[in-house]
Amino acid sequence: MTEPIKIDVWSDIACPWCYIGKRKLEAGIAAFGAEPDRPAVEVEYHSFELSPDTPVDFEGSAVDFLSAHKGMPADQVTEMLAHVTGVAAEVGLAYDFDALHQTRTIAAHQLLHYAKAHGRQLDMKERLLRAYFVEGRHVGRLPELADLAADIGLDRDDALRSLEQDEYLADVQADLQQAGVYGITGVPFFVVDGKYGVSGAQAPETFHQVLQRVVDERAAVTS
Amino acid sequence: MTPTPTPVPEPSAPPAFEMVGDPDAEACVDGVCAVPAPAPAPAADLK
Repeated sequence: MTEPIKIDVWSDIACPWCYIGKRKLEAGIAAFGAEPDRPAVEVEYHSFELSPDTPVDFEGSAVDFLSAHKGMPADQVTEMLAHVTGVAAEVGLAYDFDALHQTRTIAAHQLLHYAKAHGRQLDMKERLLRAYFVEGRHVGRLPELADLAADIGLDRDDALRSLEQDEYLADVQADLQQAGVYGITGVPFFVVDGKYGVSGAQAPETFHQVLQRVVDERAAVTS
Repeated sequence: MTPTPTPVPEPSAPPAFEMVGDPDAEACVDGVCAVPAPAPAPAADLK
């Protein structure tokens, strides 16, 4: 059997371009997989914190947070959010920044590692992103994270236990450290087959092309 | 049964990623989400 192609993705739950990039990656993988005799593609998400200084509970809007904590003019933030909301809509994502709860995402990243240990990382990633950007859920509070885990069929009590015990905090920190070693400063960042780097929310065709490049290289090696 | 967490690996040395795609693709950097991210600059003290 042909060895799968691995794509490692550094991404944050609070990253609007990451959710858009996820959709574009999925579309590129689907187009690649629609062609005959293509190897499977395995995707693994890794933790990245865009704003580790974000408090768990911030009472204010996304505009308030970015203006106050990043020093951006409010009208610039508003323009940025309007732009990303429009692009998200183009890929079928209904972002609602008015309902969004700005929060630190390290607990959500721990939940992703918990889900990975249970073979459910991809579903958890999708559930968390939708909860944050579309549903206005608070993804920094442990009980709410446990509810989201239950939404995809994980054991709510065990997920809560894991979060309360910081069971996967070391795994999150390892991902963060690896990003630093790789020099990754922006997300989403995709590493394809351990060799190719793709930065940002690229078009589906970009992912399709790099996957095909891997296939072509493998064929050249074996011929 | 609660699965035993796997040992956390040490970070590996930075490979020289061949960057592909649009260098102006939008990304989030330091909480600002409207700019292209800079290409990775691996830690200089690692081989």
